[in-house]
Amino acid sequence: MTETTPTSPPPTTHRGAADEDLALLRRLLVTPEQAEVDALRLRLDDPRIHARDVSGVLAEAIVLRAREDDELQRALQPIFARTLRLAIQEDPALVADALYPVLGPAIRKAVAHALRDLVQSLNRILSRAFSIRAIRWRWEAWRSGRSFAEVVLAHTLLYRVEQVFLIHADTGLVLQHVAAPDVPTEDPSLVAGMLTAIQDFVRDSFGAGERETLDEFEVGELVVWIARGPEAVIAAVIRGTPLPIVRTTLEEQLERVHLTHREALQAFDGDASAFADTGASLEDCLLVEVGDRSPGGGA
Amino acid sequence: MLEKKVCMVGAPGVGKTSLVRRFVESVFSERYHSTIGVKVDKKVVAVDGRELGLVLWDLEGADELTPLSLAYFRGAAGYLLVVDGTRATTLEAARELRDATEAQLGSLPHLVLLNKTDLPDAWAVGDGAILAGAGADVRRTSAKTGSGVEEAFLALGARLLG
Repeated sequence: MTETTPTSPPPTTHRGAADEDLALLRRLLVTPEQAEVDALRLRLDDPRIHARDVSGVLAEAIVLRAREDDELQRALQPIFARTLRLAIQEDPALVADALYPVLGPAIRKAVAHALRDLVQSLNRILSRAFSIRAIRWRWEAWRSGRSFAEVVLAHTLLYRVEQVFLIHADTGLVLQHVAAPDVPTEDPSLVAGMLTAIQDFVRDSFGAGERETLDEFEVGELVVWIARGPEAVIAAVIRGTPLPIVRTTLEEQLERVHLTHREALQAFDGDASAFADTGASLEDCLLVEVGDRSPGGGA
Repeated sequence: MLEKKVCMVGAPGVGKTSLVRRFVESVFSERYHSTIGVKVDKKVVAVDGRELGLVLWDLEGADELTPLSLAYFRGAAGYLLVVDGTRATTLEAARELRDATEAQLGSLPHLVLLNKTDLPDAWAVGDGAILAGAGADVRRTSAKTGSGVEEAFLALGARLLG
């Protein structure tokens, strides 16, 4: 005998439908909020979004905090110090290049101070010297109100800067060239090339470092003074015996060019037109010192 | 005017200086070679209507006795590798020079010049095939007759601007 059991719809069917309805209802009710919650969760979980958000207010936050107290500076100070130390350790040239326009004037100031002391002591020594010429020069110094050392220098040192070359350090190509009036000149490109070759030769032959340079050399009555920066070299062809002011001027103009034309120097590919405006700076280096006996002998 | 530094290299006696003399009127004395190992000359060429100043660094002949000073190569935009077509050893020397240059400075535009074509009977390097790899432009020149010289410098100029 078979026993039949009354058939009843499985309870799950009802429950399933109810669940679906509920889910639908939930979706209808909470979908917009759910999307917002998801978006918020994403914001919380994704560090890139955090970074973007912070970057938007970082500068303002720093300004605000710096107005309040010095805590931020105190917190950052050791980090900056470590970063700088690390940067110097890894690439000293990078930091040296960045500081080059700043360090030059500071060093020159210190050297000028030392030189002034030297001139003063020279004055003392010279004031003891006794000769007819010395008496004449002392008279001249008294008359003109200049120091005795200045008068002696004016009588003994005569020079004229005849040509100035601005040369790209890496390629040896000429960037700018100026010459005093009536000075016969060769093609500046050739002279700049040979000057660079001579520098390379000296460095290569004597094992000097990349930044070390031949500062000066003499050719008959001419003396060539050279100053080297990270990207460019300045060379002056001088007739006679130049005063230190010539070197100072060369270095100052070289620093100025580095400051004003750094990007053009780094991107230089043989087109010197970007350096056309450095002519005036170079002309400032065309110094003349005439040692006549008039009080305004120097020009 | 645009200027480019170009080096001329090769074993001693291959005719580099004669090639330069063919091409430009030198200002500096050739004694510079024996003193500092380089002489600088310049030639202005016209490439596609543009003026280009080739500043030629003619380097003293390099071989196993006098190694090439790569310091002179700094900042060069390209170079000319010169071979004496009548001496096979200069071909091998040129290959070594090129390897040394590329090891130090990477690949630079360059031309290979098989010089002295005015001596066909003594020709000893064939077509210079061992230097023809890596897209190098191998040309024949004669500093004596001037054959191919101007064209070679112009071709290098075109490569430097290309």
